[in-house]
Amino acid sequence: MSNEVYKIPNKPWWWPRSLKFKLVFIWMIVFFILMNLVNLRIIAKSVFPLVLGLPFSLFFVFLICLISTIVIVGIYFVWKDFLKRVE
Amino acid sequence: MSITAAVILVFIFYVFLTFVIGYFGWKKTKLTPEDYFLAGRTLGPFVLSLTLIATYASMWTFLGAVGTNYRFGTSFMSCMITYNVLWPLMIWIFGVRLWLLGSKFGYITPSDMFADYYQSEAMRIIVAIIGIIALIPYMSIQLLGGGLAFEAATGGVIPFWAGALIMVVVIGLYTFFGGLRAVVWSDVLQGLFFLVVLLILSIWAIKLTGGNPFRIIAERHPEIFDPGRFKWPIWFAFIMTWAFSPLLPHMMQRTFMAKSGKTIAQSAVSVAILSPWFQTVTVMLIGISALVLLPGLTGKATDAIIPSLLAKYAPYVGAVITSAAFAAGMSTLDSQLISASSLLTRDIWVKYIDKKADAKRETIIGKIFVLVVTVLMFFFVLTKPGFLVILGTAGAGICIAAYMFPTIGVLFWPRVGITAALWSLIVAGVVAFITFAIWKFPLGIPNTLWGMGAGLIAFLILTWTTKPLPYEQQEKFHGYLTSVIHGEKIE
Repeated sequence: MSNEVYKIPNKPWWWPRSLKFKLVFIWMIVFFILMNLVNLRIIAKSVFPLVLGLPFSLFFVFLICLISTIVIVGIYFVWKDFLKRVE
Repeated sequence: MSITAAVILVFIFYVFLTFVIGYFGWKKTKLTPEDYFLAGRTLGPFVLSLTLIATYASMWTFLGAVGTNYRFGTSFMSCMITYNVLWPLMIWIFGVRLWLLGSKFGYITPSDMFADYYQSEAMRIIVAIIGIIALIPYMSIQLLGGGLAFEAATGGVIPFWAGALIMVVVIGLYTFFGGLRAVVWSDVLQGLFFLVVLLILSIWAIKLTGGNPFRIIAERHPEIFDPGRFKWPIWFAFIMTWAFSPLLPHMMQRTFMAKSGKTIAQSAVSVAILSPWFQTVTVMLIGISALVLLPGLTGKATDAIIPSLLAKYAPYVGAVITSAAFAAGMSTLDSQLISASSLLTRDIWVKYIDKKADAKRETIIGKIFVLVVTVLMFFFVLTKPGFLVILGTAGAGICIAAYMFPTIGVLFWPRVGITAALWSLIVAGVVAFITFAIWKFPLGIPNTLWGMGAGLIAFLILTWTTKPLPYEQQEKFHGYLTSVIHGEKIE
């Protein structure tokens, strides 16, 4: 391993390279902003109507957390080539 | 049979199981630091997922989190579920890269990695000291909670000191003999146990309310579902602390233990489902149901919601639940204990005091440190120090704020040099400590955010104004990470 030479690519380290990861990145930012807006009482602040038996504010929180969970689980299926390399 | 006898019997059975696990851990563990502290880097996805979640969830999940849901409703729920959605994402972001570097360069502690990347022994010592400062009070809180819970569950038959002693003896013995293998295998038992108990308890509590507790509370106390009851700075600080919990030393070391990068990925998926949807939602359901079943509780009484519910509706089941709370506490404590021992052994003792120690001797020293830390922790807790909870709570925030920026340098940003990494570590740690212990929460903003803010400023200014690491050093790490993560050819 000592003779291996690696090159650092001249690309921004924080910006995802593939379109799928760009979408994941953007959604997680949106998720974080939405959760902050809920806590700041800017959106989803009402108790009624109850949706699926849950107060609206709680339903909204659950909904966007569910989407985020699906996105995080989805990374596994998007990053297949990487997983093969580290199997 | 009295309830006290039932609590003791269930606990004895539970302790027996952990000793059996400890015995098998001991038989399988070799006398090498890699085997004793990291289980030989052999953990598969099932064990890794459960040890991650068992280590992450502490006794507070059973006691404090239920009470906070009771008092703050949707507002705390949105906080808890946000950080429990985000920390599995951090396993993807940080964990995969940590595993790649840990397995390639043979790191055992976070300090090994920082010292090697930044070529700095000062970095090693400061990272180890901050890690120990974060871990020891945090461990003591678990023990303090365990002793008090034992006393309460047995109606004072087993006093606080005896409860704490039983807990340290059990944990100290299986950790001393079985090393990390015993710790993670017992985490599997403890993790499954408390997740199942939480699930059953939440279903039972909803049934007891005789309907939909959300509808009942929405009509009686709609203010519980006001999403802004938990003040934003506190809400945000909770999220920033616990979402980045994979940066705590004992959590970081869990990424070094995985059998492969794929194991880390599979664990991130499991934890992404278990942590928000099993650990968080069940706790919330119990808290909301308790609003119907035990109305009018305030202050510290809300921390005893689960014991109060059981005392009222199913006293004998309380014995099992008490053991589940211990399971949550012990699975956090044992992991922190072995992590603190590895920091003391590897980064301080062997590096500076006993430099000639071979692998066998280093492992024996590690075992001795397990006992030393256990005994010290016990005597420390006996004094029931008031500042312990303060220091313990602050400890995790201090550590995460301090570790964050040097970690970004190692894993992501080649431009970061030693000056930026070292000073951001010191500035974030010191500011996070001062804004808790000396000048508490200035402007109502928690210490984690002050530490992160000050660390970020130091980090950015120094990164752009001081020298980066030599290019060969950057290539050795960032080139390697890029080649594996992005599949770019090694030239």
